[in-house]
Amino acid sequence: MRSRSSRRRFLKSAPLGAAGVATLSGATASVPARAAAPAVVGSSNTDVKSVDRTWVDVPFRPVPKRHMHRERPGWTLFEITKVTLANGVVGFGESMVQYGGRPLGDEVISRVVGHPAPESMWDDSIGHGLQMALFDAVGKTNDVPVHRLLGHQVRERAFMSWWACDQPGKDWVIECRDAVARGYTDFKAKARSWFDLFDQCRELTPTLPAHFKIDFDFNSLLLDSAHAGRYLVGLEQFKNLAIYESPIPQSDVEGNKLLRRKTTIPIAMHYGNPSIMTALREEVCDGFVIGGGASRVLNNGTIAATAAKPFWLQMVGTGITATFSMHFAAVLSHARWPAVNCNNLYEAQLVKPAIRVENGSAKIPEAPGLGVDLDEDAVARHRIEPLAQRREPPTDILLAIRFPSGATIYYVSARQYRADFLAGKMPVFAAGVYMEEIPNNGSREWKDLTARAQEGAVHVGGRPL
Amino acid sequence: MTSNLSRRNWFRRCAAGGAVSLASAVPGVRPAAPAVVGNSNMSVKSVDQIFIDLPFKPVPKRHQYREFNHEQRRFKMLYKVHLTNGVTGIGEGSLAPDALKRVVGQNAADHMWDDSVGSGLQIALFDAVARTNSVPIHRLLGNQVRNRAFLSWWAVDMPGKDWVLECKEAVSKGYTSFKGKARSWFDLIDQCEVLAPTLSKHFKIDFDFNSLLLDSAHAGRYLVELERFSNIAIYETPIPQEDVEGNKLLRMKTRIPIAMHYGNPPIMTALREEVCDGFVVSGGAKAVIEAGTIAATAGKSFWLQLTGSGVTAAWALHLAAVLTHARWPAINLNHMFVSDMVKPGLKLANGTAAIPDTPGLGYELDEDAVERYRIDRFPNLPRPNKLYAIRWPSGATSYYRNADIFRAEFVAGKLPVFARGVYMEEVVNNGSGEWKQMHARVQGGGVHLAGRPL
Repeated sequence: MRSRSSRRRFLKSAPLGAAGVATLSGATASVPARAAAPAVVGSSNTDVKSVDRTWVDVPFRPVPKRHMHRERPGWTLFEITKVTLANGVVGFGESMVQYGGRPLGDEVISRVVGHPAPESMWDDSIGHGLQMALFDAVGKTNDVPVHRLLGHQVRERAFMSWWACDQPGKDWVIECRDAVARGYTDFKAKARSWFDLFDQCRELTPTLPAHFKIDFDFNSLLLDSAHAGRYLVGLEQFKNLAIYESPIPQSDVEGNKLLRRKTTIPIAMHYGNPSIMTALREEVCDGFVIGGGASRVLNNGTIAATAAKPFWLQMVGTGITATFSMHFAAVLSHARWPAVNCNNLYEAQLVKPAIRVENGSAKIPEAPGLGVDLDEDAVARHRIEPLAQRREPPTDILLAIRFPSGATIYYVSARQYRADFLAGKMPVFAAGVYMEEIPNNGSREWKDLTARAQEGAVHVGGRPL
Repeated sequence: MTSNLSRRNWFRRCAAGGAVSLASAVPGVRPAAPAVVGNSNMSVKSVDQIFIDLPFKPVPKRHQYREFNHEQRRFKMLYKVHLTNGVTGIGEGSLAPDALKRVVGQNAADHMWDDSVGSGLQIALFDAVARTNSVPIHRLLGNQVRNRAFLSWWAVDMPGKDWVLECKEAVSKGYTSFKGKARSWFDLIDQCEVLAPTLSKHFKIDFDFNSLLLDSAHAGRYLVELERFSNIAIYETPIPQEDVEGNKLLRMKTRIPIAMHYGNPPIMTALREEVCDGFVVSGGAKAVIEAGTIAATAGKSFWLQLTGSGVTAAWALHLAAVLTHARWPAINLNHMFVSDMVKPGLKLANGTAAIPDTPGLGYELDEDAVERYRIDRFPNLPRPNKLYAIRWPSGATSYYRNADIFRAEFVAGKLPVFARGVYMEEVVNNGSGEWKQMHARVQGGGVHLAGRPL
């Protein structure tokens, strides 16, 4: 809802400068519509003058690069949004165009340009990048950090987590070593039925200090409480494990309630499924995953706090988004679980100074706006022309899931096998299972199997490749 | 949490000149430099406190003085927050003892979300920041969801004929809702029989019992009986709010929604147990936004109850602008007074007022009214000490020196609960020995007599 108001017409018709103010003030007494006049005295003219969009393709660091291409090759693509206000202030933000965000459309820009930045900053529908940039610009104009616009500060440092997708335990070891070296004390990873999670934990946990915590996101792959109960309790032997996310479908209210009783490890769910009042009345989980635009995050964070549920802020991107996320942590009392920002995946953070994590938390910026500068050199280095098409996972690869029985199932994409596991067509978190990519050795067998797997899963009793 | 931070220290150390020199002065904190381009200099220079004794209109005046807290409503504290950039924000309400020390010399935006500064100062800070940014306050509070806000007329307990006068004025000023105090010392059914026939069908009445129906055993049949007055729309707190099972039962018995003050019982209990249909929400900006958010998530409508003059009513409009479930008409009480204290005065049509879209509150302080009602300080008023008679249908009378005392006795269950035919009246001092003697006796508490000697 936008106010094309008398205020605007009034300001347009009003003369500028101190003399104008005196005249306007004089008119106030007799003309009600001019009640707004005193505002002009200190007006900082936050009208949005222009919005610029720049695409960047920020490379993954080596370990993520080895694995992210299977399901999330588009996660390196960002649209950097710069908002210039009439007062000269420039705010910036970013949108991960293939996860959570979307490219900024001309229609949205036309809604914002020519209007004061605060008019649109709470409107989640304008997209992450533009919203971030507006908050940044308004914060800078008013000489306050973004969190002062969001609410009342409750903490000075924000908890942050390292994140990794599914990969062999040895690569998680490398990732966690990096995480520890960079001050992190938490690691969240994808628990997948095509890797033996016990094996992964046996490989990983001996390399970790006792205080370092691991959270596993199952994305429902344990299917139901019958499969999940014993498995989750079994994993408790690994003392570093701290939180399970979505072990079974979130809509399974009774199943999740039962799992909470069985395991001593808290269970987290994405906020909103089941509907939040059902989740709270039924006590289906211990905490939440919260993400989205500014209004939604504050809304959900408020509800979670009222219900005494901690949550992860899950706002994913480079250091730009991670910084924005820290401002939310500043005002949300129950942002007590370490935020999942995924900025650790990338070679460049796109902000200066880079976020420094110590003891698992980072200082919330207190400089105006986001409190960091855009790393223009990095932006220039990674700049690309906007892509017209989504970047999809490759289908000319061959992925083998090796079962302990000796059998192999071949696929050409992770989407295929994930769907089969979710549909209950495959063994659930079998001991000894693992997935590997079969490089193209130029053989006829490779070509044949790849061609067959294009049509769907290829089950083979042995392991021809 | 106040930020005495490097940012602030950095600005202090820097000259007030251009961005370039600032940036080069302290390379380590260069990220802040761009802010100087559009810096709005919102440092709080000074805060004026203005004490106001704002007279009640004639009908409220006849009844507000019986209860100490009701009479205190005429005393208002207004604030003017002056920023370094020349903008002045106005507010009304409370002020925390240490707030000025915390806020003066600091950026207004640093403190606007801090409820602990007191509601009056908080409103003025929001007003000043919004004016500086040339946006209405609601743009700082959240995403706008409505253009007009629902408002209600309000009145304390009084004979039905005075409620008739109040509602007539409410209708003439564009209101479509009236909230009144339902009290066990008036026969509410009698009051409704006087009032309801004077109202049009669309005009709604809400009754606040403040727990005076005591328990579900007393309340159930009574609330259902009142349903025959089709104007009645909402019951507030018919029995103590902590009586979870009692309130759940009442919700099943009556078709009229039951409202409760947010927070008692604890909100998660209230929601899990479904003790009520909606809420009364009040407090500072953060508390109201949070409570409004929770209520909306639970699908519960609420009244915004932010009481004062037109300054507070204007503030409430901005909160209503961003809260989806502010669907019940707000209780602001500004209509009780001879002046709104703002220009232009609040205008209603069809039970709603337009949410301002001019900068800040969207209203200016009525400086003429400020001068007219300004006082040096609030007087230390004694508790009311008159002679009140509660007339029982049996012919008996109970005498008290003020309403606070007889209210406590009703709440404690020492008197009949909403008896038919009961009424309360002030026994005016006629100079007689009987009056003096009775007045002396009630100093020790309620005096119960079989007849009506006075």
